[in-house]
Amino acid sequence: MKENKETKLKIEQLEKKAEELENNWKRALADYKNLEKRVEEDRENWVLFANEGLIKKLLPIADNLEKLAEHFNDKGADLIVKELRNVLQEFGVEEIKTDGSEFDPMKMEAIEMVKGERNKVVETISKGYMLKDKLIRPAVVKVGNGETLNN
Amino acid sequence: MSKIIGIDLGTTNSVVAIMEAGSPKVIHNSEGTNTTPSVVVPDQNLVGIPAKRQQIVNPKNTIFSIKRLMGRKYTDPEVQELKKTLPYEIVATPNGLAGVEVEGKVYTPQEISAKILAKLKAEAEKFTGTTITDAVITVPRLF
Repeated sequence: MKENKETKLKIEQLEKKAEELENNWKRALADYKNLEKRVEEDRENWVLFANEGLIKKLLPIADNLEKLAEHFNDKGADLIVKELRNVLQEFGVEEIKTDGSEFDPMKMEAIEMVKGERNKVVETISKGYMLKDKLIRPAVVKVGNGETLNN
Repeated sequence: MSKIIGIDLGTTNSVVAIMEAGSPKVIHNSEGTNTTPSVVVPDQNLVGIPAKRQQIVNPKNTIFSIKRLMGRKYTDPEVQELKKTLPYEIVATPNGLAGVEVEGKVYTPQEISAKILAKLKAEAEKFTGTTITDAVITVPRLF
């Protein structure tokens, strides 16, 4: 009688243990499947965005070079800027169009409100860039507050 | 088997994470950062970084630090103090608690926080590829 009770208890314990282990196994399996999927995704992104770090570091230099070319009004400098732009474009870098367009918080960052047409970009402080449909740097812009320039 | 996400709903920033093989993993948002600013434009459904980017041009409709109003009465001295400094409109909801008014519509702090939580949940769903139905949310120290 006593032995029976003990056996029953043992079975219950083992069943509980088996259930726990099965759950853990399922969880581990799900984690593994997710990991597999993510590794695949990461690999794709790795190919697409491997240059992102380097490009991000080059952008401020491109900005400065552009400013310099503007300042000097020199043909040679203009050529260098053009060359650099072409290289960036070749690697999938695209400039975000801002001047005169509607302010878009998904791609632009507003730093000031100035006189001008409401919710339109009045001035671009620094250019924004997309890398293959991914925003790598938002454009920094001044946005119109609805007051016209005359008053 | 669906995953349970953990959310740190912060006053300034919020974070979502899942347990993976026994250790927590922070899920980055679609903008690529680990933390999402707790900033919401309720009438445009903007949450996080995009909401923050337009804060300067839309200060009256950009809700931030909503957690400071959570569960407080409109008449609470702290709410009245906040009312002086915050750019958005703080109003009393029908049950006397503090809420915010955006473009003529009153939102409770819970509704604003829900938009942050919904965004984090969506990010987690995108990351795991599953539907998330359970979450653990941090309880603020001062509640």
